[in-house]
Amino acid sequence: MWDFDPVGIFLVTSGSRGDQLLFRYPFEADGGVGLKGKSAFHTNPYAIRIAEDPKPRNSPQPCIKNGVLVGYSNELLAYLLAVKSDLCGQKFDLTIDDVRFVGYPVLLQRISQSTPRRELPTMISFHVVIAVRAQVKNSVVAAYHELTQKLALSFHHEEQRCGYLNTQKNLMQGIQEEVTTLPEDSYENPFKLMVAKGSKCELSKDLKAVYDNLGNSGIVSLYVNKWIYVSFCLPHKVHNILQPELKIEPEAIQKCIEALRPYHGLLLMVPERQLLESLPPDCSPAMVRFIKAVSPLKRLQTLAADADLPLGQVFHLSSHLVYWAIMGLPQQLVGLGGRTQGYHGASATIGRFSALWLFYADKVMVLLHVTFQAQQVQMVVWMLQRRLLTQLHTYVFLVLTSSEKNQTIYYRTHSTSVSEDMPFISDTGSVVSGTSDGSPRTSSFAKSPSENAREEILRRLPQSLHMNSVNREAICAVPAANNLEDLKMFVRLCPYFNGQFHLEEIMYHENLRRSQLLTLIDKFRSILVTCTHPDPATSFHGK
Amino acid sequence: MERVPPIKCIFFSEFHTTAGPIITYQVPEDYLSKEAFDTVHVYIITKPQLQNRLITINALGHKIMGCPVCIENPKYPRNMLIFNLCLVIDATASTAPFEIIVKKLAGYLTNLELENEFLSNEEQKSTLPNIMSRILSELNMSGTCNIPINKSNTIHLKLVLPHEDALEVADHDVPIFLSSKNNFQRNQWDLTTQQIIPYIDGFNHVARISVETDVEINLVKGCVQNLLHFNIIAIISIFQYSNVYTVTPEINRLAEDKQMQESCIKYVAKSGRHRPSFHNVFMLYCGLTPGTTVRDLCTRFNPHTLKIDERKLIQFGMMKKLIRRLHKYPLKLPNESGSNKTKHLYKWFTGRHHYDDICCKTGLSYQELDDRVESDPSVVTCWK
Repeated sequence: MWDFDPVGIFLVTSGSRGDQLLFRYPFEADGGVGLKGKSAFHTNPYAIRIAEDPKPRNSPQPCIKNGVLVGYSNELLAYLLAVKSDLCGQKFDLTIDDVRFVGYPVLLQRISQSTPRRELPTMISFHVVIAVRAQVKNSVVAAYHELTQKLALSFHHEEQRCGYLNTQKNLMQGIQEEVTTLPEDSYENPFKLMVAKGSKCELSKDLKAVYDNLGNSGIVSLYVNKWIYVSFCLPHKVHNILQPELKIEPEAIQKCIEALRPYHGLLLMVPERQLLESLPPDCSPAMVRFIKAVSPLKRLQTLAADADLPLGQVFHLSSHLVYWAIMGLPQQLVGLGGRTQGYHGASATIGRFSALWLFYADKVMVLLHVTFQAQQVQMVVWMLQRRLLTQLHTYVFLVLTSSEKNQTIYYRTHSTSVSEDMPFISDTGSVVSGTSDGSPRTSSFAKSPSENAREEILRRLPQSLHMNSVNREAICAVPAANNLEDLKMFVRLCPYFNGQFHLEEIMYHENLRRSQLLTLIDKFRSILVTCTHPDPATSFHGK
Repeated sequence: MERVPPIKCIFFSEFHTTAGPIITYQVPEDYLSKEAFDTVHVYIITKPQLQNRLITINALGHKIMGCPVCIENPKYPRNMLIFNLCLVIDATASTAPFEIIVKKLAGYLTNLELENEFLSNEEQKSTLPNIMSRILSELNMSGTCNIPINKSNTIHLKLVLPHEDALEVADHDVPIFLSSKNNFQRNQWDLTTQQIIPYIDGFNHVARISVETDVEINLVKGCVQNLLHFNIIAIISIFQYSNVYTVTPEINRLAEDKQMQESCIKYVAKSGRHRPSFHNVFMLYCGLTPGTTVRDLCTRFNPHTLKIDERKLIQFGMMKKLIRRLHKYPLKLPNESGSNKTKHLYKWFTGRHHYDDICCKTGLSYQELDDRVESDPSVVTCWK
């Protein structure tokens, strides 16, 4: 039982015959159990009356029992939920103690005050309401609002197209009236009859299905009157159903979708065949092509090429599927993908795997074998599908320490764009003065051609580094800086060394191979510090 | 502290014997129009079944919170008096801080009516707008108000933000002060807290504090929870050289925040005179990866020559959440028989208890437990 599961679903209409509760689910045996004006205590004439009751007078009973709304009689619900026409066409939100009613009332006909009661239409407005626990988060309420709105609008459309709602209403009313004429001992709950087998109340059955599906899977997919397709997913539920302990919030999903990059790989959470069968018949052929091409071993870029779709569309499709929890959150199986493309050796990949995957929860598997096997890929995929693993990324920081006062200079770029393309206003004066009084090595010698070339390269450093002679010196002091090629590469990658970019991202942006990047980091290791932690955007495990 | 959204309006509404549901008084005047009230009055002056329930209706751009009260007595014209004092806030604001206030106000008015006929007596009732406007302005200004009504009744209200449930404190948790202990006003606190405070030094764990101070362990936990709630202390883990930590994305904060760097260097320095370099401190933090114990880190970098105290390094990292502890969870494989020597420990090997937990509960030392786990082939361990 989840906190955000609905506790009831209702359909209320108001019209010439007053406010009516057409349908409620789950139905109680008898309405009005808990909500009584006086507690049962006082109704017993032999009960001892306590003169000064220390507790507040008849403190209300909770209205949700076993995840079901109790204590609200049909009349009370009709009274509360049949709203005035001013409130129609907008979200409805009513909280009574521990229950929150979320709905979307729709006005079918605008009527003026002067219309005589006899000429009033039998249905002026209707209202689809879902009741939830009052303490649920606002995002859950927003999701239910969306669902009720979708349902209400589709009912409205069908009513206008073919009078669907009126037909269904008459059926439901018929059943309700039938029940009242029955002798007392053969009383049946009218709502139960509505959803019984063989009943013609399609609408009631649909609403029941909505409630049940929300409780089971969090996904609603329904054809109203076999015509209008209504689909909805409760992100709070679909993402957490496999691993209830993780508590993935929809905000995190949103963040994750925004963090989608072309080098990410995607993982199907449900078998491909099952997914293809569950797609609506009118779904985009691009989606089918995309799903057929998806493999955790491919990056989105490759996927786009394989499915013959523009990258932008692939992004849209994948974020859609991620939202619906059909796709795993972007996990980078690029290590694997890279391997199949022959980017780097098998042992390196496995090394990365063993080091970077944190074993999660109670499944323990050993992935430390050097031999790379398809089976192990399968194992990783399986664990990823169940979100037992977190991926760790390596981030690089440039941390300079000047020798004099142990003063630390940390440099951080403010733009993510690579500064090498930026026109740099060369400040020769400051460069010369900076080197002449700061570094004895450069000042004592006349500038050799290589020296000049070095200056030229250093000039491309981001401004905050470039302007400070101490920083420049610290960089030049690294032995690898003597190699112009290495220095050039270092300067080029400098903007990424602020802990905001992980290796895969740098590799992607600069079109580098992992080995190249690692070698460079190793060469400059005295001023570069690497650390590994999960990507905050795609990870939910960080406690 | 999070800001409490302002109250836009307070109105008193009642069931008039002839006019039906009306707004009797409203501050500020005409905030809620008569039409708007007519649209929502079913949720304000409502059925008797819903009396004494907190009802919030979010409509027309307002959130209206009320708690309808119905007093039955033959002396009233319709044998009952129905009224509701409502607060109006923005449609997007959170209702949580006001819930208790609405309930309390309903309670005050009920009492006043029962004792003094405050609401049924027109003369007394006419003081209500004055009281309401004081409540409105004082709650919005200072978050509290105390309004004497008569000799025996005073309205006391205070806006309290709902807080999250207190965190669990385990036997093996180590409390540590977030700021200097000297800043702490000791005499403000209860006697038990005063008693345990000297032992909160970032090294003693809860069970140890309980033994040292001779205070019952649950009392210690309660005090620690309380201090934790007020953000005076943080919870870290027992320092052991066998511990494994890993950096969190928060490490970026240390890299960017100059002030934090400064305080970090000060904190982790071995002695006051020699400051370690930030480069080295940062390098040590980044050296904390899964699979590297503190012992490994010390042998690799030798923090003593770098003028860094590794215990304080870990303390600072844990306090600022730059690093987090990876715990070792022993797990008994279900299909294997196992050895007799460790059989009595199997109930702990479910994957839900980590080493610290088991050590604390069973009294075994880390080494003893580790030896037993290692020698039993049917038990595997998992770091997480």
